[in-house]
Amino acid sequence: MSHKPESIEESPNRFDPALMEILRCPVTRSRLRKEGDWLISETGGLAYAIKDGIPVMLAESARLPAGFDSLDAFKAVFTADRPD
Amino acid sequence: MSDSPAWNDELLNANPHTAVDKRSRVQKMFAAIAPSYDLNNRLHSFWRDQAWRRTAVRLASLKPDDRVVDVACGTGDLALAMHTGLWPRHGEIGPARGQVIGVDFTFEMLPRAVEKSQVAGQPSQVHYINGDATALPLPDACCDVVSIAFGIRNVQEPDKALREFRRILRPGGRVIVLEFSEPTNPLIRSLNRLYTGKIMPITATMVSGDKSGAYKYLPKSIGTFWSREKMVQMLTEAGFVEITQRAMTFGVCICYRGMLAPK
Repeated sequence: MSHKPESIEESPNRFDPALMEILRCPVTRSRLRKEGDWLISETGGLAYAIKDGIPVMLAESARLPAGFDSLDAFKAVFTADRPD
Repeated sequence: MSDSPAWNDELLNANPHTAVDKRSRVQKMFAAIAPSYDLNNRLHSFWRDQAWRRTAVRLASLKPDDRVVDVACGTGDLALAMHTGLWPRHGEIGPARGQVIGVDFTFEMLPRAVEKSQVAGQPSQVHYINGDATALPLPDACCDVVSIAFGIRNVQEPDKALREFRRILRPGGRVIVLEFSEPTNPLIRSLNRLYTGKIMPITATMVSGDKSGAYKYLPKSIGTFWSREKMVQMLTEAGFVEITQRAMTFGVCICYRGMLAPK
C-alpha cells in the first residue's frame, strides 16, 4: 500500500478529503480544518470526530473548546455572528 | 433510558410526534433496527420501496453535474438511487460528474450505506455524514437537489428541517419528499391500517428481533403526521414553489416535489 495511514488504527473506511470543500460546522457554519481524526471549526473551535471514516457533525457530540462548559454557552457567543 | 424500549404503549397511544424527547427516541429506535432495516423494508413493502425511490429520482430532474443531498439517508438506498440517476447516458464515457451526500443522525445506519456504495463501485462520488436534518453541516446554496425518504415524519422539528433544505438549495433547485400516507379510498385505507397496525408490527419485529417498538411506532407516526394538504402548506411556508405530489401504490406512498424559485 502506498498511502500513509492518517491515524494510528487505520479504518478500512477512509475519510475523503474532498468533503472538506463542502463540510461546515453546523453551529457556526464556518469551514473546518482537519487535525488527525478531528475536524475543527475555524470559528469558535468546536471539534467534530471522524469515526470509521465518517464525520460526526452533530453539535451535541462535538468537543467544546476551552472556556466553555456547555454547548448552550458556546452558542450564546457564536451563533450571534452566524449568517442566517 | 438505555435499557427501556424507545417507544412504549403509553407514548404510542398518544401522538408520538408530541413526545418531548422524540429526537432521542427516534435515534435509539433506528440504531436498534439498523441491522435488519433493508430486509424489513423490502419484505414489508413487497419490494415496492425501491420502485418508490426510483420515482423520486425521476421527479428530481437530475442533470449530470448536480449535487444531491439526501437527508435521513439511513442505509443509503435513495442516495445510491440518486447516484445511479446521475450516470452519463448515450455513450458518454468516464465517471458521473455529480455528487451525492447522504446525511443521517443515526450513526449506526451509515457504515452500511458506505459498504453498499463501495459494493456498487461508487465510493468516490457518494459521501456519508452523521448530521442533523435541522442543522445541516453544509453551506448555503450548495446543492441542486435535497431529498428525504420516509424521514421527515421522524424529525422532531420538521418545519425547521424544510427551512434547512431551502437554505442549502441553489435557486432552481428541487426538494423531493417521499413519505407514507393513508390511502383515500376507504376500503384500501382499512386494509392498509390492518396490515400496518396489526400484521406488520408482528412480522417486522420477528425479522428484526426489535425491542425498540419501531414497528408499532411506524403506523402510529404515519396516522398522526401531517396530512397531504398540510405537507403542501408546510413546503409553501418554507419557501418552495411549483409543489406537486405523486401518489403511488394506492396512496400508501406520496412523492412531493417543490422548487426553489430561480433568481
